[in-house]
Amino acid sequence: MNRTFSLALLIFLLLFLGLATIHPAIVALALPLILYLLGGLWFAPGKVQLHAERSLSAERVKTGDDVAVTLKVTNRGSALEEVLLEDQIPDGLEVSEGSARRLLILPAGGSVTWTFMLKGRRGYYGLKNVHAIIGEHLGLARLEQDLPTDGQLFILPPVLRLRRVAIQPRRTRIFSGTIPARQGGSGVEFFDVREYQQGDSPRWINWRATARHPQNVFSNEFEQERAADVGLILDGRHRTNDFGDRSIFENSVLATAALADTFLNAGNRVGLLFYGHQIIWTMPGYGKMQSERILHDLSRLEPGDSHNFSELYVPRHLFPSRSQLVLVSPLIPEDYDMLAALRMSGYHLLVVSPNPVSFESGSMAPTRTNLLARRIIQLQRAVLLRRLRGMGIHVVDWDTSQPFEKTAKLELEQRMVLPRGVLR
Amino acid sequence: MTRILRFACPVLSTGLLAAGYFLSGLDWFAVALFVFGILWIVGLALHWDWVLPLGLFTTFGAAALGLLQGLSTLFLIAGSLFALLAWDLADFHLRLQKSSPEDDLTMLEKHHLLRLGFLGFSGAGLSAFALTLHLDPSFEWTVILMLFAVWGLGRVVERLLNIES
Repeated sequence: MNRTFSLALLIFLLLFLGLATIHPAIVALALPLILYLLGGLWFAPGKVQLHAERSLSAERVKTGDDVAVTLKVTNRGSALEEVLLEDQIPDGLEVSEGSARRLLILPAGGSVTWTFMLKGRRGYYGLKNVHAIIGEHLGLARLEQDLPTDGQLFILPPVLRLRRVAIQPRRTRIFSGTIPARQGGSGVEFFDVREYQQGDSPRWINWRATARHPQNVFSNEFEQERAADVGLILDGRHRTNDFGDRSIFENSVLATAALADTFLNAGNRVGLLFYGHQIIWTMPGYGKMQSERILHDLSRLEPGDSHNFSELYVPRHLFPSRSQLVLVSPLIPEDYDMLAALRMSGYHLLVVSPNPVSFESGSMAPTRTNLLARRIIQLQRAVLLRRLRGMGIHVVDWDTSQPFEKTAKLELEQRMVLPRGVLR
Repeated sequence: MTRILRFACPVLSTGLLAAGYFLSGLDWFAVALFVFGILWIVGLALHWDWVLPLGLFTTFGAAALGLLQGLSTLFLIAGSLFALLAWDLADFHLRLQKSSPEDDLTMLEKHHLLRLGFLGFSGAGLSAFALTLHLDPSFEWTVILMLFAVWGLGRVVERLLNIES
């Protein structure tokens, strides 16, 4: 019950009783209460003019890093007897050191500055208001205000360092890179043997072939290595990522960040398409700036369901034909058609799939029913992955109980050996 | 200081009221108040929020009842005054819980206790002064004065609630 209301009710009851019984001592009993109430009114805060300023030690940090938040609140009005200031910290952030609250007396023209540390999970956080509760010493008159401040914080996903990711799209760009271009020229890997041409280094001469054909001299040709267009597609659908109150989405983000970083470090042009509540497209680009751009976008993504597309939808006009697409998705059987269509359009597909079955079953009791259910779903998933591999899609089934680096080292560093009869 | 006072005031409040009843031979009422005092203290220790208004209303109710029974005015008014202080200090203690280690709580406590002490003494003095007055207004005048008092208090409460909203 509100304190003022409680006090007023008690006073009215005593006055009524005093009047009804015509007993002056009961009215006298109410007098300290009346005085207390009047004291609250007398010292009630007048016009409040508080001004808050916020500064952050960094606006972009990695997951797990601390950010120092400094708040300065200035009283530009009359003196305030009791002020509780509390920074409104969004869900997902927590105070790791210090306090986001202050309780103090603020004289006219006075100010208070304090610093505390924040940390949190991946995301974008708008730090907008400082909540102020202003009152007098008795706590009867209380005024609440939200003091507007500026501040935003991006907590970027961690970036795992992968040695290399072997991809071989049919189409490469003209710039040199690390992707085998299926064209002879200067490079590292042996590609073909051709007749010696002027300008060839003597070290390239293939002496064995020359010995067989004494009339001609042959030299080795190497496979050119070029940069490629890589389109990363991150699946953020609720239905594929969320299982009750647990979500595998963070694993997908982790894998996407690691892949983007690796592809960009190898000199490729990388774009990111997020498919969730809405489609978010990060334009393709090269280098560190693009890496930052992708991490920036990854930091603010949350899974959701699109109202327009119930199935996985990849707008093909965003990706050059025959380029490399990398889908990071837990996958559901309905995705097969879309992936098959992309493959048939000439795209090279790499699917990194955090395994939702092992992820979900990790939190379930190992009862007989659960184990049986897990086995059935694993089989369904194995069938789906096998069908995809049969189409020439490189599928990496990532058991999320294992670190992504380990899976990537085993399954991504080597080129995929296609099943017999499948064309590149 | 507040930590000690917030327990001392309910003890003094129920103790004084119980003494007032006990001295007039109403032993069972005194025992009931004593038991209530224990409940109040336990409630404060265990942070039961509902015990704060209950303590205030019960002690003032017991004091009013005692006055109607013609018990010792000194004990009853002093007991109810300590109940008011206990109610205030318990709420102040709750507000202090929201402070951070950097806050100067000593300063806040000092200001609060000074204000409370001043109002407590003034209230006690005012009550004592009111009890010494021997006015004998007619019933009509009493009603009119009471209506004015109710109207005035209503305005005060309205103002305080308006500040909050």
